[in-house]
Amino acid sequence: MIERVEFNNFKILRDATLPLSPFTLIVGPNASGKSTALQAIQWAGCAIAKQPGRLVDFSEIRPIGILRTINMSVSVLFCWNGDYKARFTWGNPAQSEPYFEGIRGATSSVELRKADCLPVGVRHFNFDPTAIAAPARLQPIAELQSNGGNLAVVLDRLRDNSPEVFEAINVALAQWLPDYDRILFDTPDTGMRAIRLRAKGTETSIKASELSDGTLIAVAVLTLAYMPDPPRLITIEEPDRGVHPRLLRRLQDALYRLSYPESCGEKRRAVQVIATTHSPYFLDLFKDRPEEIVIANKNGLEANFVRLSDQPDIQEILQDASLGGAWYTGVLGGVPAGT
Amino acid sequence: MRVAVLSESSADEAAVRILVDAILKTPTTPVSLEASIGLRRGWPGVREDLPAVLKHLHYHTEAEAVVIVVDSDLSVPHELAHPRPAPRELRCRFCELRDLCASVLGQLRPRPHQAAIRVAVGVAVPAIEARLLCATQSHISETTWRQVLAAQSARYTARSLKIELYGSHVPGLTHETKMMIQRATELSSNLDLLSQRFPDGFGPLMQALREA
Repeated sequence: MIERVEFNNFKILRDATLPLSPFTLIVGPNASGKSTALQAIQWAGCAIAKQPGRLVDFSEIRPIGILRTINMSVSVLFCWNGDYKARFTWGNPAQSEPYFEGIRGATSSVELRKADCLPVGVRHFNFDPTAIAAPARLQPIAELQSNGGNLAVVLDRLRDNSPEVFEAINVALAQWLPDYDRILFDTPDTGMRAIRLRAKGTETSIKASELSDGTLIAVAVLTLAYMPDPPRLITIEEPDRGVHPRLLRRLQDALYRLSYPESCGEKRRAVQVIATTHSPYFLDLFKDRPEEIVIANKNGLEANFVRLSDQPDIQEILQDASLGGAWYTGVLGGVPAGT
Repeated sequence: MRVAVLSESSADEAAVRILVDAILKTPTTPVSLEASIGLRRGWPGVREDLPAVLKHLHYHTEAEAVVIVVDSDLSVPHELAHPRPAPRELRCRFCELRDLCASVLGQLRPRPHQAAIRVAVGVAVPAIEARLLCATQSHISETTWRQVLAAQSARYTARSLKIELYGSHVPGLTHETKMMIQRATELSSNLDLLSQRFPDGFGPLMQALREA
């Protein structure tokens, strides 16, 4: 498991450390480095796995407000439990690939690049209901796209290749969204797929383009949670977007399914999950697990992270208050300035 | 009897309902809160939602009783000797809920042709999982928990009880509900054990229900 990620001069994260747990939920004001942290992790992960990632323009990641003429490097350091680290450094305006350095104890070597514990398979998700609802072209092998754009194809492949997983998703869907009981498929054009959901206990089904945003995101999150071979690290932007507050416990369960597979009787490897939110209701569900909450704070052109359980006197501050309510008041930090 | 149950989660409520039926020795008619009140869950949610829940039950339903059960977590376990009303600084959730109910219900217009809603409060020490495990774990009791709090040692914690009962500290709601129902059903024939092990948190609940 990655215990922390240290950022240096990466956009607003000039000198920040993101502490991590098997599941980590980051809360904070807009532009406080939450998405930047996920982006940095994704870019570094793509570089390790040699996944086709977007080329990074150095000028995009250097801190705002620093003169272009000043020579500087940008780095992201992953620290695993145990004595192992991996640093990615961007130091040249013409260089899009970061320089990699594996560190074990006092040893620094590019040989560590192939070490098993590197976060090969980092996947970032920022689900877009419009993309999820759009028909997608069938592929023999489909990996869920970052915006959920090919969800229909991924589900179609699961139905054919892993029917037990597809059935489990249907069961979970009916628990999460009791108005529906089955995922069905449309073929809007040759070689294309779209989903529709069957209304519970009826023969009526509703096509994806007419489903609510929260429903579409729920289906995407569920699919992610039940993937037979998930990546080792998942970052996900605001998975609660559009989801009714009363259904957030189901969302939490789905994400925990990834991070704590043993909690639902699964024997597969755990997936480390880093998510962001602005929802005090979602935050409420984590009151008993402050070690999983990270507060992002913005100070001018810099941002930093603090694990909630590391805040002094946190038990006394929270006591009988709801976690979301306490966060909203600002006593925990992580709220917009001047509000 | 038409009974509403308010607790920290829908899983807790399923277990509490089974125990309520066992105490009353007859199946109660559920008055659903989920359908009409936006419950925020957890102890802070129960406390904050309680006035609205009571008013809803009083004015909009034919509920005859409401059962409220929460976890004590690290708050002060209830004692029968606590003053009534209890000062807030006491940090006893049982007293706080009991006094809040009395205050809210005392301000409502009487319901025509219907008696006032009876209230039964219970506080599980430190969590409802303790009650559900006490049949198989002889050391789990209010007495032991007071010793744990006094010594600041962790013979067991709310988290360890979850692991014991569910096999994980983060059980999914479906699994949690299933296990709670199973254990509560087993316990429903052994209510004496519950009142012996949890005399101050479960005993008053049982007494209030039997008087209702």
